[in-house]
Amino acid sequence: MARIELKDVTYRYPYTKSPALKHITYTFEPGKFYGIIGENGGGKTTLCNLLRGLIPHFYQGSLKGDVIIDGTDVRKWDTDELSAQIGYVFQNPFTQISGIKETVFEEVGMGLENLGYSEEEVIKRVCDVCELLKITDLVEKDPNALSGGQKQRVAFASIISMDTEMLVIDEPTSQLDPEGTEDVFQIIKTLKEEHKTIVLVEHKIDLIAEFCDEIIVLKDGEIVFSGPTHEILSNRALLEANATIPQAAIFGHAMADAGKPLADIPITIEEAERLVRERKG
Amino acid sequence: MINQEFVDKFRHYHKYGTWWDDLNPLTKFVVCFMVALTPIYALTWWYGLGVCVIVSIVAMTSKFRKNFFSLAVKVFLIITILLVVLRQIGHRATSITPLINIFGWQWYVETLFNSLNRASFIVGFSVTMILFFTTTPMRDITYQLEQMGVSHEASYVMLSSMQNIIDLKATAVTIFDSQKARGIETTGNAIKRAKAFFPTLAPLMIGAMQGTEEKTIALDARAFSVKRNHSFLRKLRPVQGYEWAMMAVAVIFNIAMIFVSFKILKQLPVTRFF
Repeated sequence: MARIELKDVTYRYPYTKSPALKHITYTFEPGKFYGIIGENGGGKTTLCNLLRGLIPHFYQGSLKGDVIIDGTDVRKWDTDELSAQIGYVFQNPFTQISGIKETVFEEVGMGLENLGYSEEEVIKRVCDVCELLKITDLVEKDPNALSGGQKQRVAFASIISMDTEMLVIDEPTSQLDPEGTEDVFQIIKTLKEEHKTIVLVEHKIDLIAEFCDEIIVLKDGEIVFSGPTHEILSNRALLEANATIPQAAIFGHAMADAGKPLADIPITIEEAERLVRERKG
Repeated sequence: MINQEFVDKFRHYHKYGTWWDDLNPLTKFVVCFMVALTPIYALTWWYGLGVCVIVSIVAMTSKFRKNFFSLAVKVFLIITILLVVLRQIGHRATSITPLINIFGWQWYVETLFNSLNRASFIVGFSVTMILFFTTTPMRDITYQLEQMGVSHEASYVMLSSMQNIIDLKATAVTIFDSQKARGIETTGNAIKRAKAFFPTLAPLMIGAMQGTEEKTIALDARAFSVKRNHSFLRKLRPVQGYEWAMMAVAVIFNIAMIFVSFKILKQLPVTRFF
């Protein structure tokens, strides 16, 4: 499951003139970790909505081209069943809290209740996920009374607990401090090790560089760059296009410009450190 | 580490620890509703008052008694005082026994009892139903309704309405504060406050609509509408044998009161004022 093919997909939201996505062709393979980056308004969230099947089921608009999820066109998928197959965490943590649960523990277990899991299975999974996301101290609290960062963790935990094959995660760390961000990325790394397919929209490019297998760069609704993470983020064209690139890559390009090139353009601090040591040696 | 004592609570039926609160919502509703109807048949002030006293005694045993009394006392006083005063203003024809004279405004005994009789059925009914609604959390009501076949969606609407009101209020305060920060006068007399308030309505409504859209997606992400049998982490004890008996007694009492009211109560001297 969780192989998604996009074939020349163009999508326009209702009552808008210009398309939010233009001629997107890409295949998301099972078990891989994809990072989506790009400017605001570039179509990142729209692409997430498309992968999750919210387009065309929730957002009507005009969809051209084919979106094939696990061999079946998205138009033929039952949107309710898709929710059991593809987890979706989106930007705003405040609207992701159901508003009907009295404790965080119940909030995290809500998706599992909807899927009909037994009481013991729900309890076990919720306990595991709360430990994983370090929210054990929140379980007895009212989810509506949490801070933005806490709500974001709870919303994330709620989706993780459902154990879907694929996860579409749209800026999960927008309300988190650096420590919280690092924790969330460690969890995403754990999910990657469990061979989940992950599509992550994130502005924190250094973390994207560290964890993702492939990168898609969107601009004005089009894919301008895509491919293996190292290949894309070390590409000078990305720098020239004023895209955000990792600090390590900026350093690598600067070294090259100064006539002291490293053996390769690094994209993580660790790589940069190794390449500098090698150069010295 | 998660508090295991807290987690273990979900392995058992949810309990509040008092006999009334731990009754199934269905039992509480049937008993309350059947009793609440009887002051309407009786239409005598002492019966309505008696129901209020008994209901208050039951409420004393509940852990939600504060909620009950804060609302029930207000309803009791407002309705009673309002009806008594209005009746004294408008009812003269059969009033013969003077009660008190307030600066030339003559009150009559017959009118007083007449108004108390009128108030008794509204107050008796209201206070009894207040007992049900203040001592039964909405989530328990919706849980029981779902058990009885009401849709998941309908119970969500009922449950989330209260939270939506709280959220809307918080958003209104935020909009109001941001207006204040931009130098718009939000304090002062009623006209000034109204001028500041009305422009908040549009962003408030648009914000609420946007929130609804995202909330729908959030629920969809939690497989809310998946066509499978849902499970419940928090469960209530099903209706027990003795609770069925309580409901049966309440129904029988209700039917009996119809006959008693029309055949006996209306003939008693204490109700003759009606």
